[in-house]
Amino acid sequence: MSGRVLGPLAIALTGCAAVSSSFLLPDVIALATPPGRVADGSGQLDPAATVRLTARQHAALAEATHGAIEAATRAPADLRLQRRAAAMVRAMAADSEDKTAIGTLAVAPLLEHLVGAQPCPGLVDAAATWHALGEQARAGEAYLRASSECGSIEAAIAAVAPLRTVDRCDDAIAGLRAAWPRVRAGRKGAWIEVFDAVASCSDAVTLRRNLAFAPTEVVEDYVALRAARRQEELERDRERAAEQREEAERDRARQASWRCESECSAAVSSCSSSCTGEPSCSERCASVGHVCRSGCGGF
Amino acid sequence: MRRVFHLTAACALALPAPAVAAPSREAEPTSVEVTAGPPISTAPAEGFDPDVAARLAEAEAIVGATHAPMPLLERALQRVLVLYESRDPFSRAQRERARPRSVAILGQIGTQARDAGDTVLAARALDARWTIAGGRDPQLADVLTTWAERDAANAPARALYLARRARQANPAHSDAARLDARLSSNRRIWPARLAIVAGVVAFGVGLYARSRVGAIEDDLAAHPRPGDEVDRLLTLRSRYDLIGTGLLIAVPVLSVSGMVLAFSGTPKYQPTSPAELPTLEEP
Repeated sequence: MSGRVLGPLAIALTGCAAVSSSFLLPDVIALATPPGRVADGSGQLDPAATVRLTARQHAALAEATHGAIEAATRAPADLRLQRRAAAMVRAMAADSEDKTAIGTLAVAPLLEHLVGAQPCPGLVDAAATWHALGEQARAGEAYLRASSECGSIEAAIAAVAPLRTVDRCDDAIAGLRAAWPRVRAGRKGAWIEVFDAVASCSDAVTLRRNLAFAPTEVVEDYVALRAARRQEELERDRERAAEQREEAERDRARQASWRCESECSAAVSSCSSSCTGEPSCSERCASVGHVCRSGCGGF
Repeated sequence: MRRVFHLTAACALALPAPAVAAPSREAEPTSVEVTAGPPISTAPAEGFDPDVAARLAEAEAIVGATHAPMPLLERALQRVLVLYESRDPFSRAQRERARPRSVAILGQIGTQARDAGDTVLAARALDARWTIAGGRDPQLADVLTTWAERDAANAPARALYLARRARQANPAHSDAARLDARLSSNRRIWPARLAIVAGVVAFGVGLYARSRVGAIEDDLAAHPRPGDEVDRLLTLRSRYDLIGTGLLIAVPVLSVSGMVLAFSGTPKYQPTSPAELPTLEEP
């Protein structure tokens, strides 16, 4: 066969193959693509299921609390059941923003019985429960009673937070003053907690006066301790501020370096475009760029 | 036959095994701290707190009666679940001790509800039992598969969730596996492939027919022939022309149809739980 025949034949065959493949390519791709399927996994929860699970948690806690109060009422001599019921009320108060459900529970009779039957530790259970229910005055009073009747320094300290919220710091400090004689016999470091409680209910002017129930040298020690704490806090603040300043400085330097390098690159590009392909000119532009970048500072 | 079996076994081994839920075994606190007071023990020295015992006893009494009506079974389920739904430390501390009794009650609720035809209540009770007890639960897998088959046409996303949960409860459940495969895969893939292959074949046959038309025309132009033979060849040419043109027109129609079928058959959903499941939050 001559070249005059083979040439057009090859062109025709090539064209035919090209047309055929352009027609068939999508088909081949479609056949080769794996069929879409749902990804493995156990799937997702329907929003209604999520709502139901959350609602059931609250409802179950309410039901369990109701049951605990009933059980405590039926067994008035069982101290653990009384204390458990009070703790369940606290759990419910922490769990639910809706206080109406708690309002339906017989909390007051439960706590009154608990305090009457076993003031120690019933009073602190009652105080913690009133505190959780937002009854701060009752909570503070119960803590103060616990402090005096049960000889508890911790109860006197715990009374400060609820009484402060109802502007009864004088009562709280009176409670701490009454508890002070027991501090020396109590655990190590308790005096600092008592003084901190007094300080949380005092200001700069009234602090020394409120601490007057303690020996002067102890008060001086505490004042020195507070000063040291304040100094430490200031030191920490200073360190934090210095770190922030350094970080900001690093950021600024980094941005300036990037801006400089970008300007050098633009200058090199402008220089190179004016060289019209002359190698020595391009080399000069590159070396100028190198010098320019070296002045940008490294980051 | 043996080779087929080996292939099937190999495929089964290659598939990811569904996870089997295990109950929570983390240590629960034994006491609750009280500010300025002694801690409270979270569980009694032995047995249960009276209210917990009363709830379990009430549920046992309901399922112990023959043919308990559905609302009562529902109540029994709620009574048992309080201990597992409430997050207070006292309930949590008594869960482990209550596990055998709870599992037995939930199993009875599930069986009675299933026998009475209430698939949803049965599934809820058995699902709770499975979450509490862990391990495999073929009975739950059966109920979930029944529910999934019922909902497969109208709610495939929910049916797929149920089928996969059934496989988690019992990985050997063949009906659940079949349903999972059916709902997970492209249901129009084979008609789609057939249409695309038909398009490829039509393209080849169409090209051949068009080439025959050219060959007949060249032959008539190159050789003198008698009139009747010319008529016969022209008729043949017209037939090839008709077939070739028709097939080449059909090619894009078949290809595009195949692709549309493949695309439209791809599942557009994810497995999604019904509102009633899971009965309890996963541990």
